[in-house]
Amino acid sequence: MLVLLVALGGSTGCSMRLRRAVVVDDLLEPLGSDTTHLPSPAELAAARLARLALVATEADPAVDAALANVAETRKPGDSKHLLPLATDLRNTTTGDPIAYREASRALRKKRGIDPRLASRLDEAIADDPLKLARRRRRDDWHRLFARTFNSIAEPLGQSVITGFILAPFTLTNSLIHYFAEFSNAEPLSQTGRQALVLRQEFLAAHPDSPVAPEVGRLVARDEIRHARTLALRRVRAAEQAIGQGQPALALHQSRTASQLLEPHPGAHDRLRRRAARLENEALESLERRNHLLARALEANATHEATRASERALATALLVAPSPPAASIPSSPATARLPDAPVAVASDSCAPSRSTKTATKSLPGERSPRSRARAHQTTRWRATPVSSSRTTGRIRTTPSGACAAAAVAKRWPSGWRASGSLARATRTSRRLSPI
Amino acid sequence: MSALAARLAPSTSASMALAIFVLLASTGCQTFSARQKEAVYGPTEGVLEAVAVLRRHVPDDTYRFPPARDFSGRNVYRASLLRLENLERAEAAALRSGYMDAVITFAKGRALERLRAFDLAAQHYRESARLSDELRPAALASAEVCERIDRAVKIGIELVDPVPEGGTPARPIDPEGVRRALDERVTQLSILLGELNDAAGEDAPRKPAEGAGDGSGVDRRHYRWIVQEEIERADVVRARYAIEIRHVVPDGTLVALQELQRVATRHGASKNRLRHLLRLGDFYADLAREYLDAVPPESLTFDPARFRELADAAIQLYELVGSHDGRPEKLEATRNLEAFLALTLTIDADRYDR
Repeated sequence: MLVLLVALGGSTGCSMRLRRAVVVDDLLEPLGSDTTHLPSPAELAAARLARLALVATEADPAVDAALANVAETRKPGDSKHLLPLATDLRNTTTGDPIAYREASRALRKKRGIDPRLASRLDEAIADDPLKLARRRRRDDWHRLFARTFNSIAEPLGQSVITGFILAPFTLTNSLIHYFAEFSNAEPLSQTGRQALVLRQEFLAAHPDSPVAPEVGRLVARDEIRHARTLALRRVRAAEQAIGQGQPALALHQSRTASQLLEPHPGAHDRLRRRAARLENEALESLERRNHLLARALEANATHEATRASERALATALLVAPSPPAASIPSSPATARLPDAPVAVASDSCAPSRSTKTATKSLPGERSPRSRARAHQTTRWRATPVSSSRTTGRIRTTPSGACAAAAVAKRWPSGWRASGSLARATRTSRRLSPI
Repeated sequence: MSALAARLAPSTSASMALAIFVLLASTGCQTFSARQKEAVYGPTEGVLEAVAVLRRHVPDDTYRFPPARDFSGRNVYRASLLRLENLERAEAAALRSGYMDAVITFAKGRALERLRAFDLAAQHYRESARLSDELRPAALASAEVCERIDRAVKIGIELVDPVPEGGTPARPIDPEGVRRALDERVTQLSILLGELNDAAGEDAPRKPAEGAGDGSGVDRRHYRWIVQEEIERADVVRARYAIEIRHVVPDGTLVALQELQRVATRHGASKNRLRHLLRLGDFYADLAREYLDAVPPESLTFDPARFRELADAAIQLYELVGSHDGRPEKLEATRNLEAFLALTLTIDADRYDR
């Protein structure tokens, strides 16, 4: 107890002696000026390494010597990030991205790399176009495996509810769709195209690389498939265009398909013949269409007997007063000007009021209702205007409305054409030709 | 502690042990997450990191390939320049001794020359040569090249900001004079390119740097790409000028077309080759639109063959650019093609086959 008390008193006394007074003589002390940071020997060595690295060419031994100097001059108080960063700086002087990637991989394996440098090294290591290309191809296999698994697992899973009664049916249905999907598969998938682009970029950047011949072989193989893929899309678009009555578009698509296959003369003969056949078909269809268009503009000579009455009718129509407000037609197929002296084409080819007025005075003609009924047909037929005693037939109505309507029915309106064109070039189900 | 544990009920002791374990584990996790946080570098390490990122991309061929981007998605040269400037400001006290000044100045020069600030780059190189003996040969050689490039690009006209604050100066209507000046620029750059190619050849000795007493060679190979980019830019300026004045000079449209085709042909290896083709396609599309404005499709003087020539050229170019995978120009071309095809819908079917 006594020893304890002595010890306690002694320590208290010591602390009292060391305790400073609260009030000191100098209440205000001047602020100390910033002391200049004196670089340590390791930092100076790092600065020298940076100078050499900035001007070094590939495999400069001076840079390696400077790095060794940094390692030697490091002291325990120096930053632990210095040496890894210095090593990374030395690695950048190789001048070759492939060599830098290998060196980064080696540096990354070391322990104690700080996260910032580690993430940068990881990014450099991952930025390997050939590796990315291989991953893209692996995605294809992954997708195939997933599709196969799902085609079996999904119907089985759905059949659990029904107690597997419908399992054979759903499974068969799923397998049929699974195998049918292969017919829609393209020679080069989207991921395949990505892999092709990556390999092409690698070849362009490193034509002298040791792996360049192998990569070149893969690129040549995929380029042929790529050409076939694009040509196939064009051919399908051409077939669709022919089916929709767009021979000009079909001709363009088929010709483009042939051009795409031109650089590969020995491959895809069947597809080439198919494109040529579609081109010929499109040309014939265009020729037919142009012939019909030209025929639509033809004017038949009028019969002598009806010339006078036609002149009178035309004169009456032309001098008839214009309606107070005429709507502007949006397209030939849908325009409707009921009060116009010259009726524009309408789908029903119903005669306008002015037409009825103009034609009412002609002797021996059929009633407007029967005439309208005759014009209701979608195909154009010659309608007798005069009585049945006359032999002449007028092929066109006074306005040519029905002829125009017949032509308009054969060719889609502007909006329908643009819609079909948009479908042809950008569809979710039907792949774009590009 | 053991006596205390012995006094407590077993369930309580188990709870306490669990709490202690959780506390220790969370502390350990915090330590782990602290390691995952971004490391705080000292000034030397910060400079080393910025220089390493920049040095890695100094030899890059930015004529054929797009400039690299760092992890933040920025142009790596611009990002390096910004980091170095921020380091100078933030670590001014630590760098006051000047042991890193030469490195920072030289590195900024390397970044600036890739950002087309050749005069500033030359200044930084000269300063760096003054500060460091090790960097002097390379700095002086780089300064010389940058000054030559800067003198060359100042010859002739340049593309200007279309909406400047002080107003846009009028373009000189002097096609011959402008063409001569730009040809002079290209000639100067081509001479420099030839010298750089010779220096880069394996059999040719490297040019000794100015002021280097020992005659050591200096690596100037990366300047070839910079000079090629400037030659390309001169051709683009020439084509753009021809487009701007085509309405006020005879055969201006034909000349503009020829200039655009010249750019696309001369720079087929450039990273901007698709951009050049797209510009040519846009020009054909503009000509087609102008033709439609001048000669409406329903008029008697409308010439379907002439319109078809313009339209087909535009469509073919758009499709050519649109067929190149992996480039942003592909998207632009496909959208432009759709827009142009929609324009042709206004023309009668017998005058233009859709």
